[in-house]
Amino acid sequence: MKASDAVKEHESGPLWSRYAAPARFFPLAGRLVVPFYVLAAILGAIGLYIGFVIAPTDWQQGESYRIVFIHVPAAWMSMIIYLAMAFWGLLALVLNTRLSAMMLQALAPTGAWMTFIALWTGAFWGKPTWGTYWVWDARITSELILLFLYFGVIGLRASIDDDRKADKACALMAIVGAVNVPIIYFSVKWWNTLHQGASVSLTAAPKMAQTMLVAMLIMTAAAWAYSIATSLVRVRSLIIQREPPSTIADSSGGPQPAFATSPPGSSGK
Amino acid sequence: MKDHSFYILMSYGVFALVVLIELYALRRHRRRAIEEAKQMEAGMHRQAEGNSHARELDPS
Repeated sequence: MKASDAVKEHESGPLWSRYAAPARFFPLAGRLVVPFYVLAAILGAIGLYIGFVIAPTDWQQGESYRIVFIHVPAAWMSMIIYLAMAFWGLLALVLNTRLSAMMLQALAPTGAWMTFIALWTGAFWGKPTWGTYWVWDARITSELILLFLYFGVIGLRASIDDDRKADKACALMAIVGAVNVPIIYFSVKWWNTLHQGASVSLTAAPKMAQTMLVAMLIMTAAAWAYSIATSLVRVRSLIIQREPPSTIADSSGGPQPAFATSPPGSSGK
Repeated sequence: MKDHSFYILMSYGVFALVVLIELYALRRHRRRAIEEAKQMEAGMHRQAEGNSHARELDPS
């Protein structure tokens, strides 16, 4: 199938359907990567400046509370990315779209890294605050299970040679594993945990100083932008690997081998 | 108040390391994907050339 045919297949449908073709999505993803990386860098710099320079020292925890500016965004992203994986998995199973399965696969490593960062920073925040790096607390243990679920999806994908079978198996695992996300979120309400309850909620006023909250929210936006950019780079590589070179379109929609379309900021070698 | 700079450094330092590792892994993944695509394309060209040569030899 030629790139122009693959693109025309989705031309008549709604916007989301138009970009469901890997051939059409490839150049769009390439155009979005740099803006999202730049946004992540700018937001990260602003968030860290507010968090480390403007935000005051906590009267109870001292300086160690500043770990919150990386711990909370990473923990939120670890859950959001898993839910996004379950969403793409559902689309892959119901609509049988290749791109959905590739998006799932592209998100998994970033989600695993975010989960690792949440656990790691939590341990290094726990030591000065609780006096221990680790406890088998409901919130921490369920977050660790999330890390194993990410490993499961990555390992499952790597262990099955047939792409379509691997896509279905990973989609199913992502959907079933999503049940762990509400358990993580509500664990501090359902059980007595050493881990503190939510400081920020949609239904109640925040329990932290405004500058701390602003820094944390800006860092969260930076984590979003970084995760999106990283997943787009990874999904482009997956499209190159899985789609025949002649079907991958350049930005004008015409046929062009994938390796001739260098992403901005890369040498393309 | 106690000095907590070790814990902060370990948190942000490892975070920075993770970002660098992930960006490096992405770069390697992309290089590998492009290499595979080039090999696939070269294989397809060879196959197409073989088919046209076979047609020339086939009297029917």
